[in-house]
Amino acid sequence: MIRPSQQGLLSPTPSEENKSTSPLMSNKATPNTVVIPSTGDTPHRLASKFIIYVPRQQDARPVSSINSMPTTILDQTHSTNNRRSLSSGQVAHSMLAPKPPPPHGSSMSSVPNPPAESLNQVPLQDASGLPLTQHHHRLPSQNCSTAPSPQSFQKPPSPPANRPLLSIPYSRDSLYKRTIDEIEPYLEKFSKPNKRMTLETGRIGLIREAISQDDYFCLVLCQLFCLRSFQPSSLPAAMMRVPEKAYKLLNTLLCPNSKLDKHISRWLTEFPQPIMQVYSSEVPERTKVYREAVERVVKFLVHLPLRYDTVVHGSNRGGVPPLVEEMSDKLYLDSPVLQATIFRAMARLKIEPLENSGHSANELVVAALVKMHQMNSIAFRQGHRHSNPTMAYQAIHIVMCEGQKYIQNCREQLRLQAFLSPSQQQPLPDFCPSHEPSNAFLLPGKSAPMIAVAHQRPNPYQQTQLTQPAMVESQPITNKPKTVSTTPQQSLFLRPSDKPRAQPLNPDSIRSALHQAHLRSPILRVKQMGGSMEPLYRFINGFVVRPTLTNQGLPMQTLTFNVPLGRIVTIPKALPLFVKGERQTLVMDEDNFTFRLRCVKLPSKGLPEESSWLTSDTVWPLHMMFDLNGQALEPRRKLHFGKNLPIDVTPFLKEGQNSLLVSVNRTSLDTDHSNFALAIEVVVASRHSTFLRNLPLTTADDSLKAICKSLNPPTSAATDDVDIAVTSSTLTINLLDPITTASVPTIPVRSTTCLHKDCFDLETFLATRPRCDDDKKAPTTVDCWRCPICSGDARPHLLRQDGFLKAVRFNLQKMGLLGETKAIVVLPDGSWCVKKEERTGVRSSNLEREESEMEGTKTKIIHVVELD
Amino acid sequence: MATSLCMTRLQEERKNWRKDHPFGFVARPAKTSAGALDLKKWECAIPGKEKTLWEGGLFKLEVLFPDEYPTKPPKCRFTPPLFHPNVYPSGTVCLSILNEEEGWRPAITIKEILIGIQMLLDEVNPESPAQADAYNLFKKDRTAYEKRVRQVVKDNPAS
Repeated sequence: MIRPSQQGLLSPTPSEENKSTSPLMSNKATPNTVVIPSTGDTPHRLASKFIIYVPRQQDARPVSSINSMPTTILDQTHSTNNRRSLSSGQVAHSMLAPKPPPPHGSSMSSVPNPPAESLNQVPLQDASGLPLTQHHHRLPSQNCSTAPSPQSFQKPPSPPANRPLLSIPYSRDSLYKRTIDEIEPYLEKFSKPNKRMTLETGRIGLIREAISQDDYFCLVLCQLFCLRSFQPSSLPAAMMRVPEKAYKLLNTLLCPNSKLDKHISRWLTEFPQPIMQVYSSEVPERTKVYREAVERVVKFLVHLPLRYDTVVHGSNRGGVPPLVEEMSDKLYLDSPVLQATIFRAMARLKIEPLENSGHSANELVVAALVKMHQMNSIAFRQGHRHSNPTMAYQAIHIVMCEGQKYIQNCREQLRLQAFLSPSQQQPLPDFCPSHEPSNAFLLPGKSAPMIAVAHQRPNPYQQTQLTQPAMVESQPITNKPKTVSTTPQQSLFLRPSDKPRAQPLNPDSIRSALHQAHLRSPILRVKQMGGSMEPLYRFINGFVVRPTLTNQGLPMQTLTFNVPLGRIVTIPKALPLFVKGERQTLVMDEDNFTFRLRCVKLPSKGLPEESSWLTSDTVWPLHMMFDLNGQALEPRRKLHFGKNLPIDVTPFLKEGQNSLLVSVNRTSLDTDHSNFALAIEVVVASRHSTFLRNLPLTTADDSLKAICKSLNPPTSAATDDVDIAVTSSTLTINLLDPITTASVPTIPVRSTTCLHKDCFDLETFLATRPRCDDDKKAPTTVDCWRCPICSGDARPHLLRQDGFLKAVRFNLQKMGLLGETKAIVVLPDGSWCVKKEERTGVRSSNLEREESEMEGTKTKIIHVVELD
Repeated sequence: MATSLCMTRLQEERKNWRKDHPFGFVARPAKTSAGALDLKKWECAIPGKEKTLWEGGLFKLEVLFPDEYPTKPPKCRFTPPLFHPNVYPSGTVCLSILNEEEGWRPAITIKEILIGIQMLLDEVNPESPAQADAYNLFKKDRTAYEKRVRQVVKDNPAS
């Protein structure tokens, strides 16, 4: 598998070659992109991972002003400057207003932005190099009344006509200059001491954005909105149709006018021209366009209250901000500036902000989303539409979800940094959505064909456009085209400065031990018998090599041992593998044996008993290596598997003589004197029914005798020993099953190694033994046989039914005391009685209350118990 | 199966706790947002033991029970994280009886767990430190450690 970093190394220069080697481009966009060259009247279909755009074949109407087509400005410089100029106090307001352009705006409106222009000028070609025909005409502005019905939006085959935008019928340069000359001094004068001025900054910013994007709709709407507040009498008659609710919604979208400064609001009512002068203008064209704009604004305002919740708020699509199409078709909102404003506001509402205001994580996410919107917006204005809006919303939703995760990560990191010294702190990562806008929302002619072209015609502007990731707005960028490749690499590849992650407490071996995937134990299945799945219990019973001490001073030691003839025959058969590298599956039954090697740190007492051997933890000393019949054995260690796991040596054993080579590679610096013992254990299996059938019983008599013996120290000569003191003459036995603590077991068992007389319920114990791979159909794990009471060795063949406790349960049931007895007391003479519950602490006060309420409704039953 | 066993056991634990529990301790299942009892998440509080540094304090912790309980132990976490050498910065208590691989046994009750944690407060186990802050102070400057503990007690008064 080639990792991204390796790919990056293979790339010779970060220039042109980068187009094919950058993972951003090659891995995601190109392979998933299919371009079908168009023939005849069929629309071009450009299929990407998520979105299919269907460019409309528009009627070839005479186009009067193709040269005056407004240049789409996606000027990152502006956004960057504005971001830096926004103080934290302004953020709240700026949610509802687009970023104002920079103060030195006079240059930008006259010089079209190079990247955007180049985008429109490059002839489009398909992968084979043939030019694609494309129509992005502006229709004459009269066809407003042919606006599409909302239903047709759902039908891709007949997409509604995209209404052309209304151009500003004034000199944009002079308008922009007015916003500087007439307002800027005023804003500067008041903005610092008075925070309220941020509202005005936002509104003026909106105006400037509208001018720079040639958005007359937005200008007219702003003017009418202000007129409505300050000079309602001079509103055009058409505005009478606008319901009151529309203004309320405008208040939430643009901030209420009532909070605006008086000077500014007066200026706004007269911008771009006082309304009376518009109607009596000496240029008839202006009046005509103005009427058209008013018509459109009214249409928008009439529809706004009706469709605000579904379209703007996204109530029918889980709060995902609206697509351009929907805002245009359902809201009749023909303003790219306001579309972006609504989109941004909804994105901000949905993205849960990061507490720490020092980091602009959520702003990065919002910026990425807005970028997606802008891509859409450009495509839309060129006459393209999503053939499947649901998928477009899904793409936005995916980026939103990733954004939430990213913010969550930032939050964790900030929390972590609170513990670190300032020198250790690291900058938070950048947000880089996997469905990065330029990939997820492929513009026709801007994706795969473009990449193919790029090799023939290098164009620095294209590269900048194509490879810049979404969060570009957050970074200070100069106006000149920047070199490609730096930004994507920063965010995609691991940084060398990243600290290694701490080892988790319980490592997930599938992830952390991938290098030892071949050591995963086989998948175990129980052999089916007559269709029923009977549990199979696996446990250690016996050794091939008994626990043997190793010599820590001897570098090479060989252990030879014999495996009896019959043993190998009983090794479970593996199912044939169909795929190379597939995990092996073994079907097991109770006559199957497996074998495993374990190494244990030797306790100071010496070689342990079988039971204590089995309950000691496996250890794999780093200086010891094992080799069985010429096969090197690889231990699975705690670091990667959470605990040291035994080595399954079943496949390496052979009948007859086997040899285990142990290498001890100690250095002179090693001062550890611990010694280790190893053994090869035999894992046997037993079916549930076989096990129950063979479960031995300690008779009531034997059991009671043993208890009495422990209570009555022998009085023979041997016990004259004064050191022995009897501390208690009675024995308390807890009857309740320790796992459920709810009932007295029907099959009370305990291990022969247990020193206590308390028992546990056999069925519960067996049912709760963990299965291999947590798979209910698999046999149990091997090392799960520990007594729930004392954690001692409780392998199935050591369990014994206790006849005495069975008898106790029977008697209690007869006396009707089974439900309330938790323990009994056995006296030295062998008699027993129910142990009265003693209270050692306090009762919950609300329990007292509940019980007294119960007594009111029920007469208390008093048991009179005679105990023998 | 495992889930219902877990719930049976937890119901028993609750019943037994309400009937009889050590003085000053609190242990009750949390309420879900719907108002029902969430038996797998308990809100508990442990008083500092008498005649120790921790006397007079009451320390809140949440006890989370896995589906495999009682085969697997619950996770106990002080909220907020407690200043103590054997408490992780997350608040999780590092105690052998709460470790599946070490001292956990299904027979251990909530009462025993909470009493065990109460004992751990004063009987620090320097062999398995869990947080640097408290451990370093405990090892290097016992007076400062004790002063800090008294402050912690003051910040978490029992009444």
